[in-house]
Amino acid sequence: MARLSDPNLLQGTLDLLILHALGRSAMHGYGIAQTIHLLSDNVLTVEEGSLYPALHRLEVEGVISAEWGASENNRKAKYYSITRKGRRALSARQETWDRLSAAVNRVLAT
Amino acid sequence: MRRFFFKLWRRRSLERDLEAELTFHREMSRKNGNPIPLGNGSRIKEASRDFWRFGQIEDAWRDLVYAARQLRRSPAFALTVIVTLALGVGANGTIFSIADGVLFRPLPYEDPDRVFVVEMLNRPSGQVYWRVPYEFVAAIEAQARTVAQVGMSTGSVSPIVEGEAGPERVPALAVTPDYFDALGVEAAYGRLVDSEDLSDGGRAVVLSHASWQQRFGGRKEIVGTSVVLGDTPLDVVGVLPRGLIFPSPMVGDPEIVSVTAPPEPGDGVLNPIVRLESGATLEAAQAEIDTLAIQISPDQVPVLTEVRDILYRAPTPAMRFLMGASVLVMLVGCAHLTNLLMTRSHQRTWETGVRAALGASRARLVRPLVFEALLLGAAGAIVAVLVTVVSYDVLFPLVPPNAYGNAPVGVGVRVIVFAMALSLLGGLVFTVAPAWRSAALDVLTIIRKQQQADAIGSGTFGRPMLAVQVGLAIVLVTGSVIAGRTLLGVLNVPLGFEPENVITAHVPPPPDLLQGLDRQAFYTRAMESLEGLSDVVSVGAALTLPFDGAAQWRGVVGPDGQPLPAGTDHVLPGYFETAGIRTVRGRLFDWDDVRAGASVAVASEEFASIVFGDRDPIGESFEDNGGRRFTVIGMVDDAIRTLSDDSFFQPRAYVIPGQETRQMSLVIRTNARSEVLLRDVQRQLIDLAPGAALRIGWWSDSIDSLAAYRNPKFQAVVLGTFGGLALGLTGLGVAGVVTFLVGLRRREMGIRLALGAGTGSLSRLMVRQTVIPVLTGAVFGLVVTPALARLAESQFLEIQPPDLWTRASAFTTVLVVALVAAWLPARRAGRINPMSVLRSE
Repeated sequence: MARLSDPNLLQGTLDLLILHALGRSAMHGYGIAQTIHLLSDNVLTVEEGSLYPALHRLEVEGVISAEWGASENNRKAKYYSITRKGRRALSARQETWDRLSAAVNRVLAT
Repeated sequence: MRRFFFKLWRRRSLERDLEAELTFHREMSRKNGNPIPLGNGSRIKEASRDFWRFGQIEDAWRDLVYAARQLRRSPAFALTVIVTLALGVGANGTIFSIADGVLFRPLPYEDPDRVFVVEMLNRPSGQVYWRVPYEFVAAIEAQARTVAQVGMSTGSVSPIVEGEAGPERVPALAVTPDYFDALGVEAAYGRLVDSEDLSDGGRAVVLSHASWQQRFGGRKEIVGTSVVLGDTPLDVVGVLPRGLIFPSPMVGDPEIVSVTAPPEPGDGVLNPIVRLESGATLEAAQAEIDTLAIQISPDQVPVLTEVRDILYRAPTPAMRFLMGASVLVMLVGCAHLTNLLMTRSHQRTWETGVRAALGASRARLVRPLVFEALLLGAAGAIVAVLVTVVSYDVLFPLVPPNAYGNAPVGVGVRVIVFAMALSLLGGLVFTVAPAWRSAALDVLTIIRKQQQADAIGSGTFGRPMLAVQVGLAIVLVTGSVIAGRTLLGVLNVPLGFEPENVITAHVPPPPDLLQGLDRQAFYTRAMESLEGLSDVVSVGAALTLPFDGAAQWRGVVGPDGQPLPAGTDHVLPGYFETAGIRTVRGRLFDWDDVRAGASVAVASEEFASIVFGDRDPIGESFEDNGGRRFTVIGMVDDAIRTLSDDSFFQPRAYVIPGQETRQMSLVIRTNARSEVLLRDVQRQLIDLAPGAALRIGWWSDSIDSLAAYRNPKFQAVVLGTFGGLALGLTGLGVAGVVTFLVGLRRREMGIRLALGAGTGSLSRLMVRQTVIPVLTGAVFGLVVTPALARLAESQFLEIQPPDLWTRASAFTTVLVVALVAAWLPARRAGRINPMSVLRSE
């Protein structure tokens, strides 16, 4: 099981995953962690220690926005959603990731 | 940036949000039995905070609070620094508020560096005149390519209005159409006078800002209308900018300015001004003018002079001198500050060491000290501004008006900015340097063996600064002793006349009297009528009076036709007796001389020695530059015309004006000073010359107020205060250092006492530590003082050079203060309780 906790190694990746998750729907921090965990077939685990700083950074960058709302069990929770700027960033990063992973795969395939 | 402040504002709510968010996350994890590992809560907060960028600001805030707390814990230190800064800066601020206009403030013209005043240099005699023959001005205007515009001004008809104290003259000026362009001035309201106003006979005028405010209540509607001032109708076309300074002391502060055509060839122009083309240098312009002038006259050449030099030639040296003295006070204060701060940083060595050992960076160690300096500087600045305001109010009445002329004075924005900047700078420079040095100490040494560390500084600690303080104090104290003695000296200079109980009255002749003899008869009548008043002892009249700043009537030429440095003055019989000028030999004028129109003269002693050398002047004759020859019939004492050595006031011989009578001032000697009598005299004169602008008052009053810019009372007070300040600060400095050294050697003293040393010997030991630096500083001061005194003498007043007595008294004063200041805290060394010292080991 891989942990997305080393900010230097995986920062760009974590951002991409968060944006991707939020691209599907707005959700709270715990939901984001769950989504990534589930979508990766329980391979990727996001530590809150990485998640929340990343969320706040992305908020400062203006690619996501946050507001308080009620959670599914009626608790107060902070909901994040992707902004228009965030969608542009998402597709740009996705493209970069695709090129990068394809390149890495090609290298490893030989 | 806005977002940044916004977040700063919302900081607390952000923290709460984060907390809530994390709680929610954990609750969810627990409920779902989710094995997602939790991170370290505080680490998350730290990391998030980093994005919010609070870190640096918060650190800085914490350091600021820390600095403030440190200062609160040592109020004596904070107070001393603030008072030192406030006094040093306050002294500078006060002098600056008077000297700024004279020395630094740009003149209120556009591109003031391109404006020059033309003076006339007579090459053979080296004399410089303010009156420039029109031929030269015309040549410069027509031919000089480096000169853009030329402006000329002349006195103009002054309306006479009814003032509070009888009729008064409204000062008026007429200028050539290009004048304001040359000066670089634009109207505050309306327009300036121009060539189109030439045809209306001077009715179109611009008002000075002050006149507009005072006479017309600052109403804008006045612009463009006709008004009547006295009985003179005027068309007001505009208002001059506030604070305009005309570039000549002869012009003064005119209230109304009209336009006039340039004068005729053969006339003279007082202080014409030129504006150079942009890019033209003064040297190039002067060279061009030199070549133009040589075609007109071989001996005369117009000289371009800076406006500031024309306006403030006389007060500039004194102002510079006082600024220099105030800077010295600041330096003494700064030496004191350095000492204080070094003591403080030394006392904190242990604390600094611990913080460094715990990993604080050097910048982090220094930052609280910088904040401390800034806090102290800010507090010092505020107190300094208060000190400036108060001491300016106290000092200003002592300043003779001629010390600043028409330069703007007062505590304004410039002064406050100056004081603030000086305080903060002083605070920073003199605290940060010792702080930085202290932060460089070796941590291990400090932590392991604090006591040895204590000894680091004790060898040289504070003493160089002590020497500097003592040296500067000696310079300042010598200065104040010299100024005091100069003041006494000047007060004791015999005036050569007796102004007490004498009324002077400047009476312009009635304008319908065009003939000199008629005017002379008018003044004779005035004298006769005043003599009839009771309590009037005698009456006399003269063209110029001592100290009234007026020029002589004519120059005197030698047998070869060369001008001599002497001149003539007009008087009528009775003048010498009334003014109290003593007769040396021969006889004085009588009315027979006047009736006969005799060409006789009474010479002053100095005049006689210049014109006749050692010969007996009685019966000798001389010629004035109008070609008239006079025979000397008597000799009188020299009446001092000014306390300066200005060549403008040359030694006089007195002659009877006759046909050449212009205007005269009356002197009326009375039995006693009486305001009733003053009113009587005024009433008589108003009857004789209705509507004339009289100036009447007691002679001694006008001498006190006009007694020339070199009246050294002001300087004496200022330098005396500065000397006192320097002494006080030096005393504080010496006492501070000794206190510190005693504290440092407490343990040693305790042991010495335990071993049987006497308390007296311990005090002496401590005092001895300051003797060498104090003596070094004193010798340094003694060496520097004569050099500074020569500098002052060369541009200040005719001071007596610091003689042995002056230097010895300054030396002793400073030495006594320093030793007393050392002895007081040194006594504490003897009061140390040996047991408590040894027990604390």
